[in-house]
Amino acid sequence: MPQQSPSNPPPPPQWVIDLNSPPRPKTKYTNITNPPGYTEASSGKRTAASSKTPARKPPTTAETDVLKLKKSWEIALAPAKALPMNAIMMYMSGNTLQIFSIMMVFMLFKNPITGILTTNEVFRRFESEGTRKQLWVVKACYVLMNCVALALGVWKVNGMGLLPTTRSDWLAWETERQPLERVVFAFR
Amino acid sequence: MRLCAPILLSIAAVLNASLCHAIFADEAYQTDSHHALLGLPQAHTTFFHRPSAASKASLLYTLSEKLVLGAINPKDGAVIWRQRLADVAQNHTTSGLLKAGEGGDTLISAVNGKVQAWDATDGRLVWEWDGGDETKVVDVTPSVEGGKYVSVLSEGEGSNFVVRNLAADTGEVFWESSDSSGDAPYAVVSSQDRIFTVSLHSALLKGLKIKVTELAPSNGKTIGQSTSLNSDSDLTSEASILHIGANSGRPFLIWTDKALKTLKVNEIGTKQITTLNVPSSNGESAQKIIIHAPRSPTADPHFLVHYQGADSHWAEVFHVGTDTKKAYGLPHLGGKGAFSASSQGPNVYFTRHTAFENVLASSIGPTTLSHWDVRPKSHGGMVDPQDISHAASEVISRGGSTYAVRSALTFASGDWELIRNGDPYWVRPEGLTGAVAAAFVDIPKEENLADELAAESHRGVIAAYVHRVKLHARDLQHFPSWAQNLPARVLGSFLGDKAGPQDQILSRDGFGFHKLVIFATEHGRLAALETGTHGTVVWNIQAVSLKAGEKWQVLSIEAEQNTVLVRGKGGEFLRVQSDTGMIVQYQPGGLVKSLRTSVPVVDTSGEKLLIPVNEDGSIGDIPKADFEIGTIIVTDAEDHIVRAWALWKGSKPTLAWQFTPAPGETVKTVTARPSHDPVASIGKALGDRNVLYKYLNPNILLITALGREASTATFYVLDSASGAVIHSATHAGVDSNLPIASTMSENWFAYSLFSETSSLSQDVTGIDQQKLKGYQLVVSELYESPYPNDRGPLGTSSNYSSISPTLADEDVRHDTPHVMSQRFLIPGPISSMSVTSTLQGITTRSLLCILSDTNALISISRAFLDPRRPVGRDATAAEMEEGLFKYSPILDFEPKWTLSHKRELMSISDVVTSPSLLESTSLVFAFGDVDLFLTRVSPIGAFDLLGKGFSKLQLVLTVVVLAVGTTVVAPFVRKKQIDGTWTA
Repeated sequence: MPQQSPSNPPPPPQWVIDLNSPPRPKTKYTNITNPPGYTEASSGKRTAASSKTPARKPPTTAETDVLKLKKSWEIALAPAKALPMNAIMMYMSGNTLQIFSIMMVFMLFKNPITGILTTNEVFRRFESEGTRKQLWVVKACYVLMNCVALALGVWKVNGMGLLPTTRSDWLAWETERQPLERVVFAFR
Repeated sequence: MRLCAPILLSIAAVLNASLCHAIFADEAYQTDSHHALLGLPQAHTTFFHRPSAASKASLLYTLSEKLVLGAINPKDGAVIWRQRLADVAQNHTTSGLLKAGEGGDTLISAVNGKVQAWDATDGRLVWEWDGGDETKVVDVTPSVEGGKYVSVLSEGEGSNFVVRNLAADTGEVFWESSDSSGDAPYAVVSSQDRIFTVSLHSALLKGLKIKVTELAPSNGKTIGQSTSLNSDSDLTSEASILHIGANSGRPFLIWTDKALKTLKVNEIGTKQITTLNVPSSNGESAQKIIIHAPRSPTADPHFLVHYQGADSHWAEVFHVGTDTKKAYGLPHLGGKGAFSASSQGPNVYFTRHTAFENVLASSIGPTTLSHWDVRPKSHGGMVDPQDISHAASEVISRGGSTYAVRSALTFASGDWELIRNGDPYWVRPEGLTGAVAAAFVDIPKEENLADELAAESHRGVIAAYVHRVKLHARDLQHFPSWAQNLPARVLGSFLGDKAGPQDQILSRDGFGFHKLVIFATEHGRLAALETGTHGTVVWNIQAVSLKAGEKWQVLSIEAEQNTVLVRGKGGEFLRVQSDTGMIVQYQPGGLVKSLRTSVPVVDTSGEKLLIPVNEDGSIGDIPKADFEIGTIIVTDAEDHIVRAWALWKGSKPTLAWQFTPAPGETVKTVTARPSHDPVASIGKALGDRNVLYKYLNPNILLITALGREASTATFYVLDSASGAVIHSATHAGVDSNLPIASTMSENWFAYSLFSETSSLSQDVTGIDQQKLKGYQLVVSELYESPYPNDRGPLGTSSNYSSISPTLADEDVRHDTPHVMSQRFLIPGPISSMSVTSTLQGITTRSLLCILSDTNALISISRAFLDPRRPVGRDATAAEMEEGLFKYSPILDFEPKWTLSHKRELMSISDVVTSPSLLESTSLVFAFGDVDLFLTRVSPIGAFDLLGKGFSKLQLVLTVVVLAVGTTVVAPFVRKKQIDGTWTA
């Protein structure tokens, strides 16, 4: 046999066949009813999706761009979503100087600032030819939201009295008025 | 940096919460030192005496020339009790009397018109008899034998003199007998139930006659005729009576003639007079004769006559018998000497103290019982045995030929030393009483590092390098001793004992607690105390020699580099090395007659010129120099006018302004801000973070003027450059005899007085209120503007002139500050006020007050005295943040404010302060007529110093345990980590 047909490729091994033809999915319409409590829909959808994905035709660039934009908006607005929680926490922690309030204030400053600094990295994965034009609005919104979070931090710090906004904070740089006259006292 | 302002505020709030700073129990007697002095002991009132019949040991009693009655423990020289018999203000002229009945348990003292009996053991007043201001007690004698009564002879009550018999235990008057014969009373003698009065009758021509009258002890009636003892010209003055045996068994009277040629002896009660010639051997005649006789009534009637010549002294011992005869003589010895008599039973002993030896002799024969050579200079050279004034001694026979002799020697220097059997035991520096001026001085540095480093700056690089290497090589010589002391020092710091090398060398310390206090006394002495080592006397010199009765008037003591300048009245000045007391320069005063003092003024070239100030407040001739524009001298003259002289206007000083108080008022005191008065912050940060700007003018003056007739007191605040009154306050109903004290610092001033509690303005409204009177403390603060964040019309300008206002419109009184005042009712009078001073002025100042009625020094925190304390309501949160709390009109002096804690500071009149190197702490020295007190005060707690509770040992142990633990555990952890990596 091998001599007879040397050019003929041997039949592929079983595992190759298995690999190439996955087991036939369960037919959707089967007579066997599902056991009670088992819902077909989710699993069916998942299997359908997984099975369909390779089958589905790849989304167009326009579609992905829309998707990317949608995702990037989500990220851009995330700091704003954290604001109410932060505000409540800050309000609750009080204006006294304690290790907790100091740490929280520190985080309140650190997160927005690092966010602003890493704006481009955060949105890099959403960047493409199509999204580039709209993405700057998203980035601007992201920066703005971080600034709002920063403002919360500033408000908190002000509440704690740590901002040099009052006259007494600059007292050390004010100097005593010097009299031009010099007086020597000769009494005892 | 200012971001931490709230942090600082909260720290300040915490500190204010602990504003009741007190002396901690473990600090008392450690950080403070007290010289509880008595004053120079007087010869006739200093003696050893058993406090009660039952007690075995005797105490040393004295009534000093400061009229302080005290009992000293002869073992260690500590004061057991003391009482001041005269008020501080009272100008006492009498020397006082102190008598102790043998076997009694009370001491009888007499000063002016007052006779007081004191418990000899604890110094409590047993009874008092007060004859009033007119009366003057001439003599007082407790009766012999246990003491049933005390005879008091007094003059000045209508008749010439009165003899009273008071009960010895209650002071009740048994009887009184007056004499209006015109004689001057001299003494009352009580002897074995007989009472004699000795009076001096002025003879017709000249001289005095001694008259002795016997009184019946039961009712004071005269018994028989009074006897005149001497001829007319015999006795010229009272001082010629040398001795009167007041309560001895056989009292005798000794007097001499004017030329000190003869002695006349009379046993009181008899008419017999023995005349003795004063020996004048070696051609030297006696200049002074002193009689020493035992006080005890049971002792033999023997006495010693001490003749003091110009260069030597000698003595004779006499026995009083049927006739008085000389027993033996004691040889001539050079120099001054002092004798003292003491008795044990009938035996009488005389002790002779000279610069070379101490000799004990019995009154019976000329044999010397004991003899001790005098040590050269005892107590580290502080006591010089050369100049003995007088002595008191106690001799106890130990059977056979051994005797225990204790003598208390008083030296002309004021030292009071006890020697026991010739050995120096203790010394009390009684000459330090009567301090009039004091100053803190830094201890001079041994080697001036700054000078060495400055020398390098003038050299080349290589030369400077070589110099530096040499400097360090030279420092190496200290290394062995430093290394030797190191273990002891480390150990000492851990175990907390200061028993390290306590060398006698004066040296500075890292905290600046070691300084010298140099003070001048009215006796013309200068002395230095070390503040670090419990106020030990470093040196004590006679700076100026004064005539008898004269007092040294010192205007100021100023610290200079390694020296101090002492300025006396009349232009006198003295420059003394601060560490040794060596006089470097001396210029006597009185060279220019009307000169009062001279003040140093710096001219434009930086040279210091002495400007003379005359008695009438004018300026003398000034040297030709250029003075800066606006150099003004303020003087205060006797005529109650304060004058200011401008030096810059020409070659002669011109009168810039003069201040005369309102009609009827006289200027009492003039106060300026202290010379060291640093201001850390020019404004006060309020609770809402706004700023109230302080009015900080170094030229302001506080003048206290008293209207004696209207009984008012007015306090004026002047800008002394222009002479403008920037604030004044008048109080009505002021008692000007009670102390009025005032002080000024930074932007505030305080004064205390006794006055009506309602102010004048309330009286004007006609409200018929009760005029309550009390001691008040008034505190005022000056601000640039009443509004926060406002610097007044001058705004942000960096300088200003009081004379030529920069503002165009004259209506605006731009230099008038906003004054906030508050008054507090205080429980007692404050006789003097002072302010703590710290290096940077960051620490809140405390007001130091001397309380004259409790003899204490207290420190009142400024937090209590803030005029901005809310009145009639509780403080708001913002105010509480500032440390303000509700005003209460009554300010009770809390006991824990007392810096002197249990100590009694007798007759303290002045306080000087000095900063230490620690910002929290100020050094305080209180001085006055009698006592000296040194302490440290931390107005808001010693925040820059580890407390005594800090355990260095614990800290080191913790570190060691942690280090050991880490090294032990580290291999295990490493192993576990590696294992974890493999198993994962």
